Amino acid sequence: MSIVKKTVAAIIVVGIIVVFGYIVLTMAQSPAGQRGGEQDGGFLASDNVRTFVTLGVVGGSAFITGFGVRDVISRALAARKYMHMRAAREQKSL
Amino acid sequence: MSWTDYSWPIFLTIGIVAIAVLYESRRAFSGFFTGMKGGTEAGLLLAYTGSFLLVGAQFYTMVKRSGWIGLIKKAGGVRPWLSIHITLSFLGLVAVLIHAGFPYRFSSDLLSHGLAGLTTWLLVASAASGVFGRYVYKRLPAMKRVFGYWKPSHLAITGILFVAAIIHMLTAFGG
Repeated sequence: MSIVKKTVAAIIVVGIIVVFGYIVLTMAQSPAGQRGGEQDGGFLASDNVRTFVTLGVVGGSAFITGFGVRDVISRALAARKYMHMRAAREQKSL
Repeated sequence: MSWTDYSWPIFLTIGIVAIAVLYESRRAFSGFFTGMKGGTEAGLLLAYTGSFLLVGAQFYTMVKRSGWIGLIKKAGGVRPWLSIHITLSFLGLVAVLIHAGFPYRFSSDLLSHGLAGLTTWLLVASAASGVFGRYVYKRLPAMKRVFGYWKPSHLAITGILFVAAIIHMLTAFGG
């Protein structure tokens, strides 16, 4: 990665962090934000948002785990196939 | 001789100073993080964002394990994805730790409030394991054997973390 690309990426990441930090601090200092969503039924504690977040996390992690499992299975199968072929070759040479 | 010969004592000193500053700053910043913990609106925003960042960080595994060479090339190769994985994991860690009560104390016992304490400590363990893995990765192939032990352990810790986090999400509210 070139230095220009790295710098641009760093500026974008820092910018996002600053904006997000500002939003969180503003929320944290407002009286409504300090009371909290859980008790007062705020937007972020609503069933819709919770369901969306939970399904997003479960779906995302399941999707990625699927890739990992597929890779592990294909590696195991490839190793097994290699062993079979090697055994057959050795038997043939005898 | 270069400064790298002294890197261990330098980093150790910086680490100790950082911990001391953090410990003392708790008094100075007293009240600063109050509205960002647990079930407050800001706390929930941090928790949700942290969760998505941590899930996003796992796309590194997907790019790395994908059999589609075209996709890997299109995504810029595997190498930048390690940086993306570390950055997203670090930001997610910070967000979730603040939600969990950092820097004062983690607000729950290990098993109460939907495994909140356990999830937090698993996150810390996963992050520590990741830092150790990066250290080992830099020293490959000399530390190939250690890397062989580290990789399944890191995957297992992260897997358990996600299971605990999902249980926390499903059960933390209203209790």
